[in-house]
Amino acid sequence: MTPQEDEKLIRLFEQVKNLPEGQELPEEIINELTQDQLTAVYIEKMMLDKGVEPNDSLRAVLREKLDDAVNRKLVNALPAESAKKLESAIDNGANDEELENIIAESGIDVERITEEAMTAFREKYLSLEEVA
Amino acid sequence: MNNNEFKPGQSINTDDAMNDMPTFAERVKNNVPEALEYLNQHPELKQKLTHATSLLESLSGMSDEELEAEAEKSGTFLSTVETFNEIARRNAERAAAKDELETRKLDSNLDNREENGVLESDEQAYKRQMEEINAKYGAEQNAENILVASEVDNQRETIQLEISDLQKALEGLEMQKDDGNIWGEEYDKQKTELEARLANAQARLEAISGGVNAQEATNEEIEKALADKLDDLDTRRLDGELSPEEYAEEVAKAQQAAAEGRIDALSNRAEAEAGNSAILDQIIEDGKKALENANWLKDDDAYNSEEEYQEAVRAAQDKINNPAKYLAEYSAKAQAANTTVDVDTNKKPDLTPEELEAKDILTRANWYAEQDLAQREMAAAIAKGDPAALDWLERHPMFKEDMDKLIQERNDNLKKAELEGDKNWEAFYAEKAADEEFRKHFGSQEAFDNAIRQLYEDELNRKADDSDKIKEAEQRKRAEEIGRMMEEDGDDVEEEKKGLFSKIKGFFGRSKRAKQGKKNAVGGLRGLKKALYSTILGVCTFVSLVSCGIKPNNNLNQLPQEPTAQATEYVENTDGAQNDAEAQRQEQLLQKAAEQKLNVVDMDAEEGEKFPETIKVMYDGEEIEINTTKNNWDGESTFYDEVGKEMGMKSGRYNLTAMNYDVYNTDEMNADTFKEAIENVYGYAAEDISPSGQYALLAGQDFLIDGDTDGITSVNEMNEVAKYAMSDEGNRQLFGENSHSVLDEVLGGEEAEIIECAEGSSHGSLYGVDIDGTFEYHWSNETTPADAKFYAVTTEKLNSNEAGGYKDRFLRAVGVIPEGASEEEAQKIMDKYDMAISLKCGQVIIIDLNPDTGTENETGTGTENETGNENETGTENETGNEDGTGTENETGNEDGTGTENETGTEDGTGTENETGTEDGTGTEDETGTEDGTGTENETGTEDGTGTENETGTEDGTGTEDETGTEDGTGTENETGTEDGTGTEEETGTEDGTGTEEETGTEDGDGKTDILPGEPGDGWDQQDVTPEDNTPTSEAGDENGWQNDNTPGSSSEDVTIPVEDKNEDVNEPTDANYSDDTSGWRDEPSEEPGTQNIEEPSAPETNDTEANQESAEDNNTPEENQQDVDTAMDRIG
Repeated sequence: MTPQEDEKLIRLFEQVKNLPEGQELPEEIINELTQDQLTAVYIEKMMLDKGVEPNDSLRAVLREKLDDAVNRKLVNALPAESAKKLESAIDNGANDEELENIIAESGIDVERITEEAMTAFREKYLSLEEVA
Repeated sequence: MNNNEFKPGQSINTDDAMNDMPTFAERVKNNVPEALEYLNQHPELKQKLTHATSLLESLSGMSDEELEAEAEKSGTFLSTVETFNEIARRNAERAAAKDELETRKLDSNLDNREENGVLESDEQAYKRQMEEINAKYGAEQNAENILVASEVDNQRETIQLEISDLQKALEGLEMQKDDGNIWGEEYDKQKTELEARLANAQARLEAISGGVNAQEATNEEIEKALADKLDDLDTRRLDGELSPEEYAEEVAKAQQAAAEGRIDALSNRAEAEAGNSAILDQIIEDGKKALENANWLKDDDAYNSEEEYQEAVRAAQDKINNPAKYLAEYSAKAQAANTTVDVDTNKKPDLTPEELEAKDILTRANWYAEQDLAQREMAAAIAKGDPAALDWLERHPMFKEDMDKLIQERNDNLKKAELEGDKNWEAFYAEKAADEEFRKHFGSQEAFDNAIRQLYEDELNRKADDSDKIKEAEQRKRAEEIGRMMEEDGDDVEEEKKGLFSKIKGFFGRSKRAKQGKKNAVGGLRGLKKALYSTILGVCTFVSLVSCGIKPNNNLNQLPQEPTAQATEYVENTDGAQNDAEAQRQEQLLQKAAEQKLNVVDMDAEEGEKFPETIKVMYDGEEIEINTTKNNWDGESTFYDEVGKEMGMKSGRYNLTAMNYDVYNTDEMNADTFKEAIENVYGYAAEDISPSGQYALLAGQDFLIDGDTDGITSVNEMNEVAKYAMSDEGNRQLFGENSHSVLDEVLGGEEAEIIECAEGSSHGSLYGVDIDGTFEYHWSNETTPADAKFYAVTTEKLNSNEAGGYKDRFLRAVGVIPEGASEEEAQKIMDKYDMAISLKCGQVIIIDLNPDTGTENETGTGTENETGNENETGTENETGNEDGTGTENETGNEDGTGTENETGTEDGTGTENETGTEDGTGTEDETGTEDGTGTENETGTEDGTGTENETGTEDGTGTEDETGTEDGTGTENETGTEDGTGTEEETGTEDGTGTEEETGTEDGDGKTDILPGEPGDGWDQQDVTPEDNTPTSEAGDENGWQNDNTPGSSSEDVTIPVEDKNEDVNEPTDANYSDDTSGWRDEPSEEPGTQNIEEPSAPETNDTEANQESAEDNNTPEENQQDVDTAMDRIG
């Protein structure tokens, strides 16, 4: 993340933290976020909803686990053949567009799976007991 | 300081005590007797030693009297010492001068002898005698003896001055007692002290003076004896008893005897002093110790400079080599104290300052340093309330000031420690203070304390760092634990895909689809709110929706398909300034708002129907409930705040209510009714209200339900009032003669002109809605109905086409000037519009003053294609001239609500095709002139409610086809003139309720086949014959507007006099004054089918003014309900 994005993220965290009850981040702001920022905001909200004081260590761990959870869901959802094709393409240095095409051909709904994975992750975290 | 480690002569102690008093320290170090003596005499002043040099310099310029006065001051110890030294210096000078005088006197005697013919002159004799004495006793010793004697003289005079000071102090004490300033114990104490010091000084004086007096006495006796002897010899010579040879011999003998006598006197004292061997030994021993200490400190780098070390060495060596110099001092002290000088400073003295007077100087200095620490300890004890310490302080009031300072210092340190949250400051300090190795490195108590404080702060910081590190470590540990828990029971990557999993990390972080999923997830946190809105949508008042001909959005129960301008928390900036970030954000909102089309519930109500307490307002695809009683119908546009202020405008405050009111021309409301309305609503006579005030009232400000009055309480009634305000007569009344006053109020005196917005002119305004603290921008497009002109005011500033000016910025902000437009393009667009302020609503509006003229030319062969799916709410305008051959295709699906306008002139050969599916609510207008050969095809399916208007002139050969299916509610109007050959066909199926009108004149060979298919409820079969100006259907709402979106229009034919200019033309159902204050409501018309216009044979033209309907033809409530039912069926 660039320093400018970091600053924006810091402001976002503050904004999330200070949201009045019942209010959420406006869609317009959400639309302007990068993926990294979306993940960061999502995790920040998770921690606040859990009642935890966010700290950098927890942010880093949750982010890593969330990314893994999403990637895991997506990879597992791929048909075996598509998975092989995808891996082969990566090995051959395919660009993102080519990879996107392979995934599109596979028929998996990346958007939906990503959303579901994130939602499940959040629910699991919120349900953890005795977690600070 | 641990005295056990103290080494005699160790100047460190002296330096420790005196570093803050550099001059005095130097003197003490140099063992200047005066300084040490005074220090001994005034131990209580030790702490007060401060700057010396500057004071000394000032003292040197004083007279003796001034100096003595300075010495008497009870000020700083240093000043006293310096004064004392100045006195001593002068004494030394005087002594030297005295010696010189003595020498001169001796020489004069010698001269006398020489004159008398003595064999040798006195000088010669003196010199001879001195040589003999020197040979006897040693020249150096004799010189030393003489020097000692001189120094003793100086000391004696110094002590005499001191005695004088003490005597004056005693006198002063008595005076204070007499004045009642001192009494009792305090008086006794001070008196006792002074008397003791006086006795001490006198004893020292006596001790020193004894030798001197004796010496002086001896010298006088010798001189007297010599003088007597010489006189006797002279007499005997004159008497003849002595021969000249005998006389000379006798004189010589007498002189020699006198010289020997003087020498003997000196020798006798030296011999007497030589008898003080023990003291001398002590002096020598002290010197050796001082030398050893100096070297030791030198090795330890304790000296600040080499000179300092050398000085210490010199002082020490001086004692070793010239102990006699210090004999008188040592003897006097010993005699006065009657104690033995104890130079063993390794032993911690436990004596009072007075008791230490007899001690050696270094011991005393050491004690003072010790006392410094002791005083700090005492201060701590006093602060803690220790009874013994308090008793000591009571007995030693001279220390009170010092104690207070030390206590304050202690308190400051404690406070500092307390603020740091650590109570261990005292222990820390005490530990360091006891550390001699540590302490010796500091030359003063202050430096020592500062060093300890810094160490203490470092200790605290280190602990804080450690604490932070511990906390971080704990957080890391917990986070790791959470990470493990999150992975537990989770899905593993399938075995064969593990390779892919490790390689694809990062890709999904760049995937657009994944990003959208994340957006959904983040946005899903808001899901609850959207669901609520959907529920509200489900119970919205369709009556209102349908009554205005608006088909409820198919997506009512869905979320908006694209980002919409979100509710923005409006932060009222009391000082009127916005920061750049906020301004930029709102600018972005403006842009987005301008791109949107809004669905606003028409708040028309039945006549007599009161305002509901809450009104549902649709915006951004969502329905918002407004509580009318809370006066939150109005809002402020910060855009106007930002830009309008430049114009001198008042804040762009508007009233949603007012914007919802239709403005009609009616001649039904006369002036009396108007006045009565004002009076009924506001309770005061219309005459009492200024025209601008009346305007303001009618414009909707403060238009609330006034339940207490029996005046206007419904939208309908309000509309009636508003109608009149905008009627010709009303305008004349309000704005004619009084326009300037209105302008003054609205524009703040800006030079402006009133312009009349002609029929057909379109104008748009941007305003903001403040809904319960949230703020949104809305865009409203309106087209001036026929004869419903309204007035606006414009100024040069508003209308300036200056790049970057108000107009430029406004048009860019609302999207009329597209993003990225060049300056030239922007200029062309600006030329098409006028900026003005609506006198109806006080809003800035954009007026398209001449829709028939445009500056947008399409020349040559061009193709304009729109292919694809359009999901939008928006406005699409085409204004201008189309020349040459062109093709305009619209292919695709259009959903949502929108407006498509084509205004302008089409020349040449052109083809306009519309193919596709159009859903939702829309309006499609074509206004203008079509010349040449043209083809206009519309093929497709049109659902929902739409309006298709064609107004204008079609010349030449043209084809206008409409093929398709029309469902729902729609209105199709063709108004204009068609010349030439044209064919107009409508083939298709038309269901639902609709209105199709053709009004106008058709000349030439034309053929019009309009086959609306199966008519549904409300659709009227048009039967247009040439020159039949009778509209076949009419529609209008209860307010008299030809509400083209009003379904369920009366099926009866209505004849509208052409000349009736007061009737309203079928109004494009874009936002009427009565309908939409917040934006577009209608979709581009979904007109299926193809109209073939065969010109000029069967023109379908309508007189633009002929398509008038009576304002009295309104839907009945029953018809409205039918419309509702139908609409509900459509919606499903």
